[in-house]
Order: sequence, then C-alpha cells, then structure tokens
Amino acid sequence: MLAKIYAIAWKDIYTAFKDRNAILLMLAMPLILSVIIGLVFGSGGDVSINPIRVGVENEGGALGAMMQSAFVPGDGAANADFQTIHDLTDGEVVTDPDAARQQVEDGDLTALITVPNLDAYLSATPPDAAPPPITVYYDSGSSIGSSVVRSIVQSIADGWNTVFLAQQVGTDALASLGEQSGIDTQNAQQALADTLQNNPMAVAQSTTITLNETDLQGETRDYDALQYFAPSMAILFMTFTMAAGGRSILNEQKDWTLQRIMTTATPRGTFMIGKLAGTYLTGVIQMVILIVATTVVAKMMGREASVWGTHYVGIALLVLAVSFAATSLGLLIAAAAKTAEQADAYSTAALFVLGMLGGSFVPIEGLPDALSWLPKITLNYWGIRGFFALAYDKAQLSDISTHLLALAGMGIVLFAISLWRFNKRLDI
Amino acid sequence: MHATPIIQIRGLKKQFNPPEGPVAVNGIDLDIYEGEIFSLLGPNGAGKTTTISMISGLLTPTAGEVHIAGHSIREDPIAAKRAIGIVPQELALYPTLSARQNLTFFGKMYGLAGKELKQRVAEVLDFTELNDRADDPVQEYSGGMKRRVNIGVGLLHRPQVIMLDEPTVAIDPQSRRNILDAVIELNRRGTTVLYTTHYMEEAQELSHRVAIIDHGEIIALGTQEELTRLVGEEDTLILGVPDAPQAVIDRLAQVDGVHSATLEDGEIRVLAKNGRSALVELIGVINAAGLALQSVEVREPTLEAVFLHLTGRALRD
Repeated sequence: MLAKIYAIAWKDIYTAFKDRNAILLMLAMPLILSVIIGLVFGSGGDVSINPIRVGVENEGGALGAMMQSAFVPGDGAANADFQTIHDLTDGEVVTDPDAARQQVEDGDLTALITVPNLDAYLSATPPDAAPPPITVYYDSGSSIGSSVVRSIVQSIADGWNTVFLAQQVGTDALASLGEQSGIDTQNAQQALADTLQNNPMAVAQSTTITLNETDLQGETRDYDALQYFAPSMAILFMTFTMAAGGRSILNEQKDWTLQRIMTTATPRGTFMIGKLAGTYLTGVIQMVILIVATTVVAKMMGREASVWGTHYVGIALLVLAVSFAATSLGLLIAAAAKTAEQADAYSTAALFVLGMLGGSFVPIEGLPDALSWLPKITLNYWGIRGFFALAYDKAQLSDISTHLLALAGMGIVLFAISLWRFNKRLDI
Repeated sequence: MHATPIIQIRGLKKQFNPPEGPVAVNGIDLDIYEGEIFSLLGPNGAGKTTTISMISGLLTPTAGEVHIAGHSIREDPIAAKRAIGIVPQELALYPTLSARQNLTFFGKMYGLAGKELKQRVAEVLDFTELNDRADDPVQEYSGGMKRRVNIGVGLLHRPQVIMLDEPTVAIDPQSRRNILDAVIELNRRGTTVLYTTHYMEEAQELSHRVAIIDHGEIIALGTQEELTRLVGEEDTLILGVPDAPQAVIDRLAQVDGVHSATLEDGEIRVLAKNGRSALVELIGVINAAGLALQSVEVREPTLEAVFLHLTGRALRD
C-alpha cells in the first residue's frame, strides 16, 4: 500500500514540476510579484492602511494620564506632542475592561493598554515592592498593529523608567557628592525630588518616542515590506497549486486514468491518500523554494531585515500547516465541482476572494464590526500573520500557536468534508 | 476446448438513478471461456462499456453477479481484479510521462516492483514495438502509438483475461491492423480476450464467439456460423436505385425467395435466400417501374445481417 501511495504522490509531484506553465504560476509569478511589491514599498515602511484601534484603561496616576494623552486625542497641551501617534492610532478611554478584552478577542480592538497607578513610586519614600507592570492585551493575529502599539508603550515605559531611576538614584548621588565635596546639596536634592514628583510628565516626555524601537531582548526590529508580501504572495499562489492538485482528481476521472487505477487491485483510499500526499508535498516544496528564493533575492537587493525570520522550526511548522489547509481547500473546491472546468472556475473565484479577505493583496485592518471576523476564516490570514510575526515580531512558537491551530483546524475540517464528498463521487 | 468459464455473468443489470433512471444493462447472462476471443458486438449506447465497467468492478451492478477466475468481483474484488487487464476506450495515460514512465507507474499499481517490474515493462515495450520511443512523452506520439501504450498497460501483470473496450476507435487503418494482430497474438499466447466493438468486421475476424448486444440485452450469442444461421443463410443485396418509391420496394419484397426489402440511405437492401438467383427478377421489377439501377452488390451473410435481421436496424444506427 505504501509503495502505491508513494508512486501516486511521486507521479503528481513529478508532473507538477515538469509542467512549464505550472512552474511559472507556482514559482516565477509569486517571486516576481513579491519583489515588485517589495521594491514599491521598500523597507521601513508601514503596510497598515487604517488607524490602529487602541483602548487605554487608566487606573489613576500620572503615567496613566500620559498614556491616555498619547493614544486618545484631547484638548491639553500634550495633544500636540503626541500628534504622530494620534495620526497612526484611533484611541479610546476604556471604562469596562472586560468588554474591551472581548473587543480585542473579536478583533474590534487591536490592543488594550492597562496602566496601574504608579504615583507612589515617585514619592520620596517609594514602596519596597517592584512597581506593577503595564499590561498590553493584544491580538496575536493582528501583528502589525499590535507591534506598533507595543513599541509605543515600550517607549513611554522607558521614559518613565528614566524618571524612576532619577528618583531613586539621583538624590542619593547628590547627597554622596555633598559629603565628598563638603557642599550643601540639600537644596539641590529637594529641587530634584520636587521636579520629579510634581512634573513627571514633563520629564518623561523629554524622551523621544519612535516607532522603530528596541524590543525586550534588546534586538533591533526592522520592518521590510517583503516580510509581509513574500508570504502573502507565496501562500496565494500555493493555494492555486493546491486547487490544481484537487482538480487533478477530476481530470484523472475525465481522462480515465482514475478508472484504470481502480481496475487494478488498488483500494480507493490508497488512491486518495496518494493524491493528498502528492498535492501536499508539492505545496510544501513550492513554499520552501519560494522561501529560499525570496531570501536570496532580498539579500541581493541589499535588504537587511530577514524576510522570513530566523525561527526555522516556526517557519517549518507554518509551512506544513498552511500547506495542509491549502491542500484541503483545494480538495474541497474540486469535490464541490462537477467537472474539472467547473472546479477551475470555482477555484479562481474562491481563491482570489479568500486571498483578498485574508490580506494577500493588501493588509486588511479595521473592517466594520459586522465583518471583522471575515479575514479569520481564511488560511491566507493566519498564514501571512504567522510568518509576519516570526519575521517582524521575532515571535516564538507560543506566539504562533493560535495560527498553527487555526490552520490545522481548517485543514482537518475541509479535508473531512472533501473526503466525504469525493467518496460519493468516486463511485464511478 | 472451452471447458472452464473464466468469466461468469449472471443476471447482470445496471439502472442509473433508480427507480426511474435508464436501464443500461438489463439482465445479462454470459460465460466466457478460457482461451477464447469473445466479442461483444453492438451499436453505440448498446451497453457494452457499462457491461465492461461492471465486470471490472468500476460500476456496482444494480443486480446480478460477476465471477472472474472463481472470484466474485463484489465480494473479493482484489483477487478478481488481479486476473484481469483493462484497455479502456479512452487513452487512459499521463500525456507528459513517457511510455516507460506510464508503464512503470501502472505496473506499480498492479503491485509489481523491482526487477520484475523492469522486466515486464521491457516485455511490453517489445510487444508494442515502442522501444525506440520509450522515453519520449506520450503526448508526442501518434494516435496509433498511444493506442499501443494503452493496450500495453493492460498487459503488464500478465492477466488471464484482457478486456479491450473499442480499442480501434478513431485510428488509421494501419494502426487498426496492428492492434487486431496484437489481439490475435495475445490470444495465441494463451490470454483470454473480451473484445467490445461496433465494427462487425473486427468481431467477424477476431472472435471465436460473439454476443450481439442491443438496448442492454444480449439478443444473440454463438459462433459466427451459429449466428449467420439465424438469418437463414440469406444474402444481402444492395441495389443502388435513387428515389425508389415505397410501392416498388413493396413489390421487391414480394419476389420469390426475398425475406425483406428496405430503403436505407438511398439504397435498397434486400435479404434473400439465394441472392444471386433472385437478382434477375429483382432487376426486372426495377426496370418495369422505369427506374435506373446504378449499382448492385451481393453480400454473403454477415453479423451485420444478423443484427439487421434481429433489430431491423443497421449496426451503425
């Protein structure tokens, strides 16, 4: 049985990669389009075309007020200081944190920032315990927007850390200096303490806020449009290859090669597994070739950022998961059609619509509430976001576990439906 | 000679979309014996391919049983399928693969492997005389060469029975001759052949026995001699008389020794016990009617005549 599965799979892979037109569609087109789009957008750009929706929960205190000013436009003087952030985001004050968390889970909010009251830590005698953390609750699927929000919050937190440091170290240093030099530093210490305690916002705001910042590991995070468009094009064209793979079952039926195989002592299940394996491995090979090719091309273009990231296990798992989901989608389209020609028409329409919804052409952000779930039903969405998270956010496996589960779940459900449909169909 | 039936068919029926759907095959009983060439002769749509599809396990019968080499195709399909090789009417090949790659692939589907597979592929390439082009893609072959590969695939596992479903459709006369010779050679080597065709000449040339099928039913079965006896050893006379009125045809039918006279495609077809003897009187009727006789052809009893006799239609209808 294994020998037959291998023979069917190998035949499909061999014929797929022997077809010049197929090679053009599978490899040349996505590579060329990725490079063109990458050149147009360049590196350091932003692929987000809609304001990022952010909720700010201020539990009281100066830092919360500052965070609120940073994200939510107001009338105060601080408004002008945060204009750049206001242009990029659409912030709102949160009064019901549970509802806001739900909005994040539903994709209506990109992130919820919860800022504890840290004023006590700016007093002359700060508490012994470490200050509670600022919490950013974000949607791992919306990696672009959430990355920007997390970067801004990190910047503001860094500024405040400067204040805390000055509070805790600066006065001691002045006292020590006074002892050594014999100069009375009492007044200076008092002035410093008063400034830090009474005007912390002014001190913190003196720290420049940028969008291209250092992450928690201290590594520089560079953005390159190829990090988004290389996976989006690779996945889009891979879905077309997988649809062709599913369609090949109908072609085999039309050309009578399927019937001929059925007249040999080959069970139907063996044939289906062989076709599935052949189509799936073709998709995996296509993805691997495109990953290598776009990486090489990016290097040749002098791009510094890694297009696919360096988490090779994560990349491999995503390739396997997205190829599985795409294979199942291709099979389902073929199973729903009556003829190969009909399947061709169905797949062209379905894959373009799903690609568009999933962000293969432009990132889809900020859809109306009623439609916000739509991108998440596409494998393109989870695949692109997963690869982008690995490349841009330097995400770990746990960060893309949702993506992997979503893709695997889609693959299993679609495959089960298509197998049921095909089982009825192959009763020739 | 024909002691052992290698294929036994009893009450075989296929109705698509029952209970209202069309009945393609309606209760066929057949015994096909080891070592014979058995032809299933009938016009297009008679039920030949449906019958072959049920025998080979592709279609589930609505009723009836098929046993191949003692194995039920329904209860023990794997063992039954091992005994048969199928050559479908369609060119069931992968066009971008070469003949050798196609044969190797289908050989694996038949469970062959290793040296045995290589040896069988080489044998089939020899038999089909495709060694010179064995590594070229099949899509670059002529129609006849593709047909040869198509037949070769069915021979890979040395089946006891080879079933060829209209293998000479849409090919040139020379390729047809090659295929007919190949069938005879296969049978000479001991392979039982089940051959479907709507070409009377092929059935006549190849077969030890013929079953005539029409509207899903076997309407005649036997050796050629047995079948032609059904038409009473009548000759068929084809008279070229343009625009012959029905009254003249009726008069021709009343001539002594004439069984029937019909007008088909501008020609009068007359079935007569002794055609040559009746010819003089037939020409007299035509002359008396003032009609011009442009051509005369006398055909000895054939399977075509049998079909005409049994159905009132020509095979090509």
